[in-house]
Amino acid sequence: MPEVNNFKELERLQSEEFKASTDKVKRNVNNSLASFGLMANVIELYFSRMFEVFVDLTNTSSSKSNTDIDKKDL
Amino acid sequence: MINLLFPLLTKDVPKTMSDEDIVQEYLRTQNVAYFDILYKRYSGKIFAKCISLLKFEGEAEDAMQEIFMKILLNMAKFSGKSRFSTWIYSITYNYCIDIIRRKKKDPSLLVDNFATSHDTIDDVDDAFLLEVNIKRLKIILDEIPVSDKTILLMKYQDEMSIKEIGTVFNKSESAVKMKIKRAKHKFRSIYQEMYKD
Repeated sequence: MPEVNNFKELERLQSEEFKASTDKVKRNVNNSLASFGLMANVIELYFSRMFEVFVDLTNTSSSKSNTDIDKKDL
Repeated sequence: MINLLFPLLTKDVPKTMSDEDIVQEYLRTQNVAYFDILYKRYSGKIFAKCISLLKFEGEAEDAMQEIFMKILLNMAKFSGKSRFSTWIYSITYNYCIDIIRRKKKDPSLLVDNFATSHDTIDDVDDAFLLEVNIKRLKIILDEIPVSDKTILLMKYQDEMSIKEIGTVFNKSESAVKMKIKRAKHKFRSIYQEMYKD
C-alpha cells in the first residue's frame, strides 16, 4: 500500500476536531458505569439479605404451625 | 471493592500492553482504568466513523455512547479470535448502519447489494484513493452511497482484511472484493464528475 493514506489522516483530523464530544461521551459513560456499580452493590447487599429474611420467615411460620400442632395434640 | 477504594491509575498501565491483554485484565479485575485506556485508544476513531456515517454531531455522540456501553456490556463475549479493533469497529458499523436503516426505512441497506457476479468495470488503483486531497476526500465520501462509504472506510481507514470485512457482513471474500471494486469505481466517477480539472 502507498505511504500516503489520507483516509487515516482524515480520521486523525476528525478525532482532533471532535475532542470535546468524545470527552462529553466519556463523562456520560462514566456516569452510567457508576449507576451500574451502585445498582450492583445494592443487589449484592440487599438481595442476599432478602433471601435470608425470606428463609427465616418460612422457617418461623413452619415452626409456628408445628407448635400449633403440638398444642392441639396436648 | 478494593478496586473502588484503590483504583488503578491509567498511567500505571504500560503503553505497550496490547488491547487483548487489557480486555483480559479488565474482565479479571473489573478495574475501570483498563477501560479508560481502551477509550483513549479508540474514542477518536469511533467518533470519526460515527460522524462520517451519521453526519450530525449530536447523533454521533448518542451513537458513540451506546456503542461504548455495548462494548462494556459485551466485553466478556470478545473471544479473541479477531483483533479487538476489528471487533469494536464491527459493533460501530453495525450500530450506525442500523440507525441509517431505521431513518431511511430501508432494511436492505448493505445487505442485498453485495453482487457476486463478475462485472467488467476496470480496477481503480489504491494510490488514487489514498492520495486524494483531504478536503475533497471528505466531500466525496459524503456524496457516495453509505454502503460504498462503509466498505471503503473499512478497507482504507481501518485496514481490515477482506476476510474480516466478510465476517462483519457475513459475505464471501469474492463478494467483498467485488463490492470494494465497485465502491472504488463509484468514488472515482464522482471525483471525476466533481473535479473535472
